[in-house]
Amino acid sequence: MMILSRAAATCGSISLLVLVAALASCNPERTQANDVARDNAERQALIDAMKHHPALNGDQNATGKPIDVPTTVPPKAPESSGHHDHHDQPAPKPQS
Amino acid sequence: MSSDFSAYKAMAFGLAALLGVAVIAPGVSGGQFDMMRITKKKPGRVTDGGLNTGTGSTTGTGSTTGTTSGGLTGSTGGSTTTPTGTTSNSFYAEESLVPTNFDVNSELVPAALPSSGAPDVVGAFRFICNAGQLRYDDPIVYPGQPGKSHLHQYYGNTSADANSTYSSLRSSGESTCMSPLNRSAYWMPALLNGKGGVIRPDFVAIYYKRRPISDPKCSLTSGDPRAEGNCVPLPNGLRFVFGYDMVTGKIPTGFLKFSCQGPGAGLGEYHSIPEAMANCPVGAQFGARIEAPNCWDGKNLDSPNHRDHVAYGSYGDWGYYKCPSDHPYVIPSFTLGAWYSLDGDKANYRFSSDDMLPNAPAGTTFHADWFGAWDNTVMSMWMDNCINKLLNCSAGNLGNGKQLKQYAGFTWLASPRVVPVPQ
Repeated sequence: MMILSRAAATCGSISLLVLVAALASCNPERTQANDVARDNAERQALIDAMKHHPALNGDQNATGKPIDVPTTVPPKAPESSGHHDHHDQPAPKPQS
Repeated sequence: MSSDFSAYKAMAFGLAALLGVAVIAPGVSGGQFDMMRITKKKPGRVTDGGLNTGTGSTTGTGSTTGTTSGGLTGSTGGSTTTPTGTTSNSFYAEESLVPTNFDVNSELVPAALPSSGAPDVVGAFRFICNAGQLRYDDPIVYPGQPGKSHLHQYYGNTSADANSTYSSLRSSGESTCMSPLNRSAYWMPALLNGKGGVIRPDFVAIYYKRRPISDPKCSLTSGDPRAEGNCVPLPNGLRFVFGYDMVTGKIPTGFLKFSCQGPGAGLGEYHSIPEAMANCPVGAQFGARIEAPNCWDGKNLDSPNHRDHVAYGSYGDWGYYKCPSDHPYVIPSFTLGAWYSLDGDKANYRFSSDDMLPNAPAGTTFHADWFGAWDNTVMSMWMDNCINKLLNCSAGNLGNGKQLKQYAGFTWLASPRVVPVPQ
C-alpha cells in the first residue's frame, strides 16, 4: 500500500513536471520576466552553493593558497595614443 | 511483481537503445568526439592563421604553424583517461596539451554538496570568480603589444597580459576563479565611473553548459534530423572575442544584457547601462551578462577578426536550433555575468570601450574575450560528469564527489571597489 502511494506520489510529481513542461512548450514566447526570474534563481542557487563551500566555512583543507591580485591600474603605454583599441581600422559604424 | 516488470522494461529499453545506436551510428558519431581525446604522444597541429606572430606567439611543445588536420574522420577507442605529457587530438584542431605543473589533487577536495540532476536539456558547471588585474592589454587582439588596447578587467589567470599564449597561461599564474586548475583568462572592458576611477566588480558568475554527448542532438550522425551539431570538448588553445564588434559595429553577438539585483532592484533586462541604472538604486548590484559562442568550425583556434572561427546556434528559417553548417562542432558555451555595487556616481558609469562610440548609450560596446587554459584532467571531470551526465554542478563541484578548492582571500564585495586610473 505504501509502495503504491509512493508510486502514485512519484507519478504525480512526474505528471506535474510533464504538465509544466507541456504548458511551457505551448507558450514558446518566453517573457522577459520569466527569463529574469530564471536567471535570478540560477545565480542565487550558485551563490548559495558557494556559501556552502568548505573553504568559506573555515575548512583550511579546502582553502587554496592566497593569491596576489594587483588592484592598481598600470599607466598606459606612452607610445599608445589611447584611440586605437581593437581598431586601427576606420571608425565603427553606428548601430542599426 | 511491478518492480520485476520495471526491470524487464528497463532491460528492454536498454537493449533497444543499444540496438538503435548500433544501427544508426555504425561509424564515428559526432558525439563520440567528446570521448576521443587520444593520449598518443605526437606533435600538436594547430592553426592560428599566422595571427600570433608577435612576441606572443606560442612556444612549447607544439608547433604553431601549419594547417590543421581538418578531416574529422577515423576512429579510435574512446577514452577519457587522464592525459599526460605532450598530447594532441587527431580529430580536430587543437594545440598540444600543456600539463599542469603542480599536483592536481592538491587543489581538489571532497564536494560539500552532491550535484543534482539538471532541470534542463543541458548539463551545467558553474563557479564564481573575483576581479583580477586591470591592464591595457589584449593577448588575442594585440598579442605582444602591451598597453595598446582599452583598459580591460581580467578574471581567471592572474598572469594574463599582452604576451599570454596557451602555453604561458597553462604554465603560470594563479586564478581568481577558485583554483589555478582553471588558468583560463576572461576579460572585458573596465567599468569607469566618469570621475577618473575604475569600478571593480564584486564577483563574476560563470556557467559552462552543453547538451550531453548521449543526446541525439549532439551528433549529426545520430539519425536525429534536428541535431544541433557534433559535440566536442573545448579544444586546447581556443580563444575568441564576442559581444559588440569594435571594428564593424555590426549587431553584437553574445545576447548582451544588463540587470539589477538586491534591494529595490527592478525585475528587468536592459539594453544599456543608463536604462539599467534607472532601475537599479544605490545599494543594489548592477549586472552585465554576456554569452560566449557555442559553435566552432573545428579547424581554427583563432581567426583574423578573432570571431569567425566560432559562431552561435540559431533557429534560422529551418525551424529548429542548430549550429551553422560551416561551424558544425558544438562546444560547451559559457555565460559570464559581472556584478558591481553601485554608488552615487552610477549615472556616469560606462565601459572603457564606450569611449570609441561616444554618441551611443553607455554599455553599447560591451564585449568580452576568452583564452582557454583549463587543466585537461579537471576539464574532463566536469565534462564527463556535469555536462555528459546532465548534472547541475555549482561552486566548482565536478560532479564526481570532488570540488575545486577556493583560494584564500575570496570576497563577496570588491576591495578596493574603486581604483584610480592614472592620467
